[in-house]
Amino acid sequence: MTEAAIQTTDLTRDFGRVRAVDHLTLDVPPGIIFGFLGPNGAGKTTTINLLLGLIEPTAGHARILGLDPRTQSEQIRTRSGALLEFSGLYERLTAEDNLDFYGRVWHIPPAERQARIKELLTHLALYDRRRERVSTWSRGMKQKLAIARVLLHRPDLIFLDEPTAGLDPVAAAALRDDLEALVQREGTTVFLNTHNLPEAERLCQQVGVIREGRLSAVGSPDMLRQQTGHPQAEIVGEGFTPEVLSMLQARPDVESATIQNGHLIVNLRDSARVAPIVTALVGAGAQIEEVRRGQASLEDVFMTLMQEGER
Amino acid sequence: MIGDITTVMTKEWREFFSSGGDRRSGLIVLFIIAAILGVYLPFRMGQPWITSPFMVLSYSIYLPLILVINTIADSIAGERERHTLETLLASRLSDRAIILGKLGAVVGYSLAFTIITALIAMIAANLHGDGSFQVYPVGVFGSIVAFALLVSLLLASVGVLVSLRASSVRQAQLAMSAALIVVILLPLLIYSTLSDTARQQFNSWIASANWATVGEIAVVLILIDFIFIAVVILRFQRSRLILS
Repeated sequence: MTEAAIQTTDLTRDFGRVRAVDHLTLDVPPGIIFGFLGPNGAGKTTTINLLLGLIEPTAGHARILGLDPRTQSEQIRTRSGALLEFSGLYERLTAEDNLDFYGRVWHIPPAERQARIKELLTHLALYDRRRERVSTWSRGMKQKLAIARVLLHRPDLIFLDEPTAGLDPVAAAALRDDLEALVQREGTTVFLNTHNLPEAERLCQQVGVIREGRLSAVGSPDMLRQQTGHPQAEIVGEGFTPEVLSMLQARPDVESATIQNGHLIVNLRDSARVAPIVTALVGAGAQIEEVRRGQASLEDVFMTLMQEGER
Repeated sequence: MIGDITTVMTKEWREFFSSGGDRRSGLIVLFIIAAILGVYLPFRMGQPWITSPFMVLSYSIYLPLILVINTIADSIAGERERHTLETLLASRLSDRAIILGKLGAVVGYSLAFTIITALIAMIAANLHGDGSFQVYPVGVFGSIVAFALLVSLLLASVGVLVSLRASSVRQAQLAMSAALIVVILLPLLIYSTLSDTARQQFNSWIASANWATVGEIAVVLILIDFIFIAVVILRFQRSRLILS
């Protein structure tokens, strides 16, 4: 059996009276992009710090690439890469100097280092600008360079903490494309901290949802949708008045009904059928143009898990 | 380990010499000081500069003091302020390699700058001479190099400790500048409060200082340096820095 890239058992970390990570038990198989989802302050960054051996756990234990972060943190950091909250680039230096420095840090021989820098920067369309100071670059370009830095030494595992945070949608999409392509090509395991759910839905083969330090759910996005998300109907039309919404919410086969971008989104209970709901809507005076039945998005699953946690 | 220390030192130097803005104005101040201690004063004094006690004091204490304070504040507080420290700590580098690399970069820079200034001063002093070319006595020049190294190491260690506690480069620089004022003014202040007899005794002790005294002072400095470096290594801990 292939050894898990990340394995934690009851991993816990307290800061004074605050429990940042609470009995986290997790298995991340190698070669996948694992999304670690949670709102701000949920314990995502603390988890990365624990897994990298940067801080000690209060209780529990972990194995990263088969190594113990308490006693073998240097070996873990040697075989992994991390893009933390900030890009961590030396802005006074050029892009090439930044990568050269980290190439030396990871003891990559000079010829191989130069070839690798060229390969990564060319792939990210940054090679022609390699001699420019990083301070003159846009945030999107800096994040791309930071991704190149993380992959420079061909790590077995990389940790990314909100890599697209603060980027405009175009830059974020470009970075996601580059990241996906590079990770596929290199076969690296990725532990991706994010609260960007469409990003996780697109990139991740498995996700874990953390709330107040506790793991609420873990599995593939499809599995979570089936387990946690309700079947859904998206109805396009007119006349979805507050009275119509109240009427729908009172029905036993409807979990919730909301208007999103002018469309009526009805979350159905279990195996409820859509036809009786459409009939009721028409009876209440609504005009229906189109009905689409589908699964809840990862965002719906996430919101449901957050609401369940609050109860 | 040595390779990692060199890697950090090289990065620090590259960053230092490719910086602009505030750092450039700092460099201008340094060059003015170097112009005074390396060209103006030696040229005015001529060959007597080569054996003057003021020369020894300038190159072994005051120049390293100014050079180190101007650069060390940036070492930790600067990395923290620019959000590069976390990434460095998440790398495979050991705590010791990072901190010794940073100390080495500042000390190396200070020492190189001091030696170059002293050599330029020697040329400048000979321009106002009797036609012969005088060089520093070997022992004197060796002492300058040794003391510049020991003083730089001490100041850099103190600077790292200040920098570790400071929340910004500005705060670290202010603390170091305050220390600089104390270090420069305190001896003068103490000297001015001495009685005439005590002052005469001190002057005669200075005048009679021989190589043995110099050696004793050097040994004391080496011990103090070791203590401060040990404290720096103990204080520079990944987990503490990540949490701060």
